This record gives sequence, C-alpha cells and structure tokens, in this order.
Amino acid sequence: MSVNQNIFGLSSQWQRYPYDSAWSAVDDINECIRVAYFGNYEPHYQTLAHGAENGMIDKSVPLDKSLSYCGLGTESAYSHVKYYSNATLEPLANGDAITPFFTDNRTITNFAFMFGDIASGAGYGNSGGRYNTTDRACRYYPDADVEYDYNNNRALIPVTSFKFTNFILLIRVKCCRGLNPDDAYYFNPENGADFTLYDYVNTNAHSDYPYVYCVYVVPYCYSDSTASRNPYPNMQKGQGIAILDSFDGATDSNLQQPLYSYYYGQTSYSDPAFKIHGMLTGGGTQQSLQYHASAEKTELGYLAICPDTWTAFKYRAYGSYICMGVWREYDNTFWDECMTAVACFGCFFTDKISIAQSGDLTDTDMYCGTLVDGVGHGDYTHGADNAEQPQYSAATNNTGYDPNNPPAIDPNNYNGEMSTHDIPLLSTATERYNISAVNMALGLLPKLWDYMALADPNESKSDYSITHFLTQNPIDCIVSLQFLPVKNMSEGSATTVKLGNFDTKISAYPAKTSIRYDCGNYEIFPRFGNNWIDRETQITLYLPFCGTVSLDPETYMGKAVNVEYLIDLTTGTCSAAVSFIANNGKRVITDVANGVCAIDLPVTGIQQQTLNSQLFNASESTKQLKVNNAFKGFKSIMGAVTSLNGENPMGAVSGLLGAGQDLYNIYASEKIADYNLQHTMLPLKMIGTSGGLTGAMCELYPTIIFSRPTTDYNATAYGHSIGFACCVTNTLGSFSGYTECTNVDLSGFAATETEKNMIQQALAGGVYL
Amino acid sequence: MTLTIYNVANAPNVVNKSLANGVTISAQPVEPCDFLTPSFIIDKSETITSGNYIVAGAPLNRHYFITDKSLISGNRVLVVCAVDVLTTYANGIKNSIGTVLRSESIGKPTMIPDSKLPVYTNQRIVDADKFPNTPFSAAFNNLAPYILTTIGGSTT
Repeated sequence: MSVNQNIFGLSSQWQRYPYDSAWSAVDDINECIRVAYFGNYEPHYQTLAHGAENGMIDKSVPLDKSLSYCGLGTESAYSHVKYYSNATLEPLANGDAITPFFTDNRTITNFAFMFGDIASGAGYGNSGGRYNTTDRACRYYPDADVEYDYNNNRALIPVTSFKFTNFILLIRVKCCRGLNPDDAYYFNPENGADFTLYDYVNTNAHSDYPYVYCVYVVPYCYSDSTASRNPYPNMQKGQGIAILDSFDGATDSNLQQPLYSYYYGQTSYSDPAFKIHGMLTGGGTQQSLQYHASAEKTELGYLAICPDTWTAFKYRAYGSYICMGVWREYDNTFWDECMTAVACFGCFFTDKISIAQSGDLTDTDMYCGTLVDGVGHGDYTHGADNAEQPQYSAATNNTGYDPNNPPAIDPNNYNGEMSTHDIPLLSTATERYNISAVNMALGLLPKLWDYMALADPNESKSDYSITHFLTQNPIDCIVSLQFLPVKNMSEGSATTVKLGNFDTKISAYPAKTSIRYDCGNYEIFPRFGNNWIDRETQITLYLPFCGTVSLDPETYMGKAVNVEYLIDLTTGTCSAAVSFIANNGKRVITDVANGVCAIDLPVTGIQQQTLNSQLFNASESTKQLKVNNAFKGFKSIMGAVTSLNGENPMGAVSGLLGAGQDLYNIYASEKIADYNLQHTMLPLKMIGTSGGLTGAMCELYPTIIFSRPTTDYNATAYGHSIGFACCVTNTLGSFSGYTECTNVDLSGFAATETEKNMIQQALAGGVYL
Repeated sequence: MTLTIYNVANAPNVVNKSLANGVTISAQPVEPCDFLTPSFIIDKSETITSGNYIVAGAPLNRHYFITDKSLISGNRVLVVCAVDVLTTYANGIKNSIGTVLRSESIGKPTMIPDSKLPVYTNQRIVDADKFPNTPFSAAFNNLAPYILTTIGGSTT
C-alpha cells in the first residue's frame, strides 16, 4: 500500500534524510532514505506542520499505518512487547529478575523506521519529565486510575520511503563481561563492548563478553553507486522503530487507556541504528532505562523488546535513579535468534561489516528477509537466491502490503509431527522364548516330563517339583504358550528353554517384547485428474488382524499413506498406525486400528496337589506308578505341541486338547482297581484359554481398496454444451466459450437499467464468450 | 436511420456474433420507437427477406435480432426487432468482473461438485492393491511362530 500522502505529505515533497551535500547529489531520489514532509521544511531541527499542534505529529492519534511496507510476524519480538511496572521494580535488589506486567501477542505488527533531529539534543536523560512534550520519550502507565500524557514522542520523523537495495542492515551486538553488581565487570557499557554479529560469534568476543544487552541494526547506504556503503546518516540523531498498532495492553483494564505510541530505542551516540532486541522507550542510557523523578519511579513503566531467551532485571538504583535492563547469555542459538529477528523486516541484511560496506547483493553472506503475503516470519535467503526475491528489483520499499488489511495469520507453527517409538524391555520374573516348530522337535520336551519320573519315589512330588520347577505343580511353570504368525520375533543369541530351574536343552531365542514394523508407503493417485470426482472415491484400508478403516479421500488423495504395525508380543495385541505426510512435511497419524494377532495355546496337565490328596491312601509304589503315567500324559501333550511343525495352528489347539484326553485314557487303563479311584476324575489343569486366530487365515498384507465411480462424458462436448462447474471471480474476457456467471459488475459501461438486467439474466443463463 | 442487415448464424447467446456481408440501407422506425424493440418499414428485397439481424446506427446504436417480419402494402416489409444486449455491449461485458459458475474454458472438472456431469456413484469399479511389506507371514515352516513364557530360575 502506498503511504498516505494526505497525512505524510506528497511523495514529491518527501525529504532526503539528512539533507547533506552527498545525498543532495544523488540524482535518483528513490535511492535515498526519505521522510515525511509536514511543511515548513528545514534541513535540520525541522518543525512539523501536521497535527493538532503546529509542527508536531498529532499526539492524540496513532501514526497512520500506511507507513508499514511489511508486517512483522509473530516471530518478531516486536509482536510481543513486554511491559514492566516500575512499582514492582523499585523494591528489588540490583540484579534481581523482574517478570513482565503484560506481554503483547500480536500476529502481525505494523511498524515504521523513525529518525529525528531534535532527539539529538543534549543528553539522553529523561529531561522532559512526565509531561515531556518535545523529547523522544514514550511511556506507558500501568495504572488505569491516573491519567498521564504519555504519548509524547513527537520528535521522530517517519521514514516514508527507502530503496531495499540501498538499505543494508548490519547486525551489531552490545555486550558486557559480567552481571555481578559487586564486580568491576558489572553490567554496564563502560565495561562492555560493541561488535558486529559475525565478529561476536566467530571470535573470542562472545567468551570475553558473554552477556548481550542489545542487538541492533545499522542501515548501510551508498550516496554514490561507485562508492562503498556507509552508516546512514552519519550523524548523532535519534532513531527508533515505531509500532503502529494499538498495543494489546490497551485491552487490559489495569493499563491506562488508550495506549498507543511509537518507540524510540537509543543504541548509540554516533551511528543511526534501530534496536532489534533490548529496552525501548526514551530515557535512561544505552543499556537500560531510568526514571529519576520520584513519581515516575513508582508510577511509570518500562517496555522491552526481546524474546523469552532474555532476562529482565533491575540494573541499579542510585540517588534518584532507578534503572532496568534486559540481557541474555551467549549460546549457540544466538546467531539464529538475531538473523530471524532481523529477517522479519524484509530487508537485505548481513552480519559482516565488509559485506555491509561493499558486498554484492548476491554475496553468500548477504541475506534477504522473505515476505509471505507481505509479512516477515523470520525466513531469509542468501547468496544468489537473493536475486529471486522481489526486493532485489524493487524501485523502493513499496511492496504492495496493505497494513490496514493484513493477511490472516495463523500463529500456530504446525511443527507437530507424530511418531511411534519402541518401549524398553520389561524386566519380569518370567522368561520368554521364541521357539520354532523345527527346534521344538518331537522328543525334546518330553524330557522335561521324564525328569519328573526320575524323582525318588519316597520324595514328595510337590517338594520335588518346587525344587526343580519352582512350583508345586510342574505345569504351573509354564505361564503361557502363544502362537503368533509374526516374523522376526526373536532377539539376541540362541539359548535353551528353562522351566524354573530345569534346563530343557531345547534350543530357542529370547523373544522380543514388542515389534514396530513399517509396512511401507502407498501413494494414492487421483484417477480423474485430482478433481471432485476423485473425492467421490471410497478408500478402504484392510489391516490384517485389525479390521478395516475408511480413509477420507479429501485428506489422502495425492498423498502417500503409511501403515506401521505395533505388536505387543507379550499379549499379542497389535495396533496398525495409519499416517501420511502433511503438506509441511510432517508425519500425521490419522487412524489407529487395534486387534489381536496371537492365540493362546492351552496346555493341560495334572493338578499335582489335588492328585496327591486323592492318592493319599494309595501305596507309594503304586502312587509313583500313577504319577509317572501322568507325566507320560504330559509328554503326549507336549508332543502335540512340538508336532505342530508346519501345521495349521488351529489343528494344534485341538491336538493339545486331544492330548489331554489321551492323558485321561492312560489313567483309565491303569490296573489300579485297588485304589478307590474308579469314580474320581483326574484333576486336569489348563494354562491359557482357547482362542481363535482365523485372521491368520486371511490376507496378511495391508491392502488398500478403491471404490471409484464411473463416468461417461466427452470433455470437449460437455464443456462446450454446459461448461464445467467452477467458482472463479475474474474479468469475463479471461474466459471463452460457454460461460455462466453471476453478480457481474456492469458499472463499467453505459446501458439502460433494463438492458443491464437483460445482460445479467443472459449471463446467468449461459452465454458464449 | 442507417440499418445494416445481416444473416447471422450464431446462437442468440453468443456475445461476439460473426457479422459479415452486411447490406446497409436507410429506413425509418415505426413511431413510437422503443429502443429495445423497435420496428422498421423497409422496402421488400432479398436482403430483408433473408436477413435475421440488424445493426442500427444513430440514434439507436444497437444490435437487434429480427424477431418478426410482415409483408405490408406497397411491397414493403414490417420488421420487428429485439435488442441484442450481448453483442451491443460485448466489450463492456468482457471487461466486467463477475463470478463464473460454469465455464467451457476451464476445460476439465474442478474441485466444485458438478451435479450435471454424468458421474455414476452407484456404478463403481473396485480395485485393490497391497502394501509392500507386512510383519505377518503364513509360511509357518520358516517361522518361529511360538512364544513360550515360563517361570525363570537358575539352571539345575
């Protein structure tokens, strides 16, 4: 948007700033930094003609936003001005941190660079007092009850125009050695230093002066295209960055209303500069703010521009002064922080003084802040990519950005990325083995049960079992036996299966507790040209063991779908995570389907204690006979398990249960009629329950199923006959052929009302353009 | 008044009609002359009997469809016309901004659902495709498909 010339004077009258011989020689006035013209122009110490008071900016209204050639996004600290209360600061000890009273939270901040001759007057103290009307001070008052005339910063003149390519911002850093108030290196400029950002980061400067209290930029310009650039203007003048939006704080009932003004950030006595991070508002010294009048000490507030990596603190209080400052300690994020902050202004910038002085705009160390819809979000290009930016060929700083109609900004970064992750191996009292049907060969497990037969007939079977199997009943040392049609469930080195203290010598591998398995990506291509017909496609994703999920075609069309299985090998539950890569490159999990991919294989055996009770009256020799036979039954059971090699797992289930029946038959065949067991059922015990795993018999690959509509049309004939549905607003001359349109603005030519109604009706019914 | 008579083949809703081989004659409108639907009495000729379109000069300065023709006395023809606003104001229309709801020049279906386009959602084609990998396998011979969980202890 063009600068409002009704307020800031005709552009033809905008003044070069400052007026000096070098710049007056520049033929192209657009090469210069130019400032508003309020009339009665004088090269120095000009008075301003605009406003309620002759010669001054109207202090009762904010500066017109048209000065802003771009918006500062939420990434800029200028969108998050921090307010501090002097009343809170005063009782603190030197060096104490202070938290902000309020923090702005604008999505876009409109701003203007400001210069001022008057502000170069004697000193930078708060000489004007609380009712200062001519100084550069801008104050806010953190109390709604007392009215102050605080919007008095009228000594600075808005920059109305500059040329991007002749306005190179050099980033500089003010820093000091220490923060201890008792130390000679206490935070103050006398013990501090000033470096370019490059020198500060790439030399020992950041080690010697690790505490930064101000980051600012100096505009470098040339007055002759053949000369090197210099700080411009080279004079002791006031400078600052005005915020042109009402402060968010104006909505806070605890703050005096209305609240708007522009800021003046003093950085140096010698060079013009704009403060990027640090304390703002007039008064004080370079590194802090101070108020000396007694009322001001408790009634006025401070403003700071800095990200949350900075700390606000009470600088000092001596005599009638009370001061506040902000700082941050250097770390390896500092360079990025500075570059991002400066990039928001959309200008060419650099961290090296040699580049600022004579570097080409496409030098690798020359940067250019990129603007999105006219708003700077801290991104930038450098080197040859700078030439691709519109600023590279722009005649001035007029970007077309309209600060009165800024783009909708969503402050969320949408950097969220969803992921899956492994879980640590659980430490339990159990051992888990991954056994192949081949290794669990017939004859190995039965050794276990033979081991019971080796027991001394005079020894209690329960005691024997506890000693060797850690349970009174041997079968109890088997916690579960599961079948899972899952690949690669083992980990580590081969071992042998141990049942309690008994090593079966059966070869197996330790089993994983969980598995994450990436099934890969499947790209969903639009079949019909990526139009509404593609959105009529029904997309169903079949997920083994987890059922099916429907995929929204409006979300997934044209994107790669990913399926990842998360399998819990301790329970057999599994989850299929369905995801895609969002437009920002981040993975988004949109569906999680759950299921079970394991079946518990029941293992049956004798309940030893019960059996012992039932056999209490039997002779030990015969009892032993029965016990041994019982374990022959177990042998039969485990034989069923080991014979699963390559067989249907469902058959294995019935096989195991059949083995239980065999066990009963064995006992039934025993010649032990002398015991009163004819009517006693053998106490069988089952580990686990019988489940179904028919899912294993279905498709085992994730499968995507498309159900697409059919079409029957000839695009050329259809388009000519009735046109394709659309909703495009443009001049009708940009269309051709059959066209239906509505709400046509026919004000551009003379016709009667009846005729224009006829035209509207004809256009709505369809015409051939 | 000057009239140029054409025989136009374009459909009435064509904005820029193809006007060629016009024959210019002089004629007076029947009074009162309505600018939107004027009538003219013209001497009978091959031109007027075969023509279907008139471009009228000042003061009408409009394009007209010939909607009716009647033979009247004196070997004359009563020509009834209706204004063609599309061609008369073609340039103004093309320079106007409007919201286009259907367009031939778009050339293909867009994201806007088109209820007139013959798309049959009740007659579908179903296809299926597998993902490249799976954690599952039916090759049980080559698998280690069992997980045995036991109470652990020291080996004896």
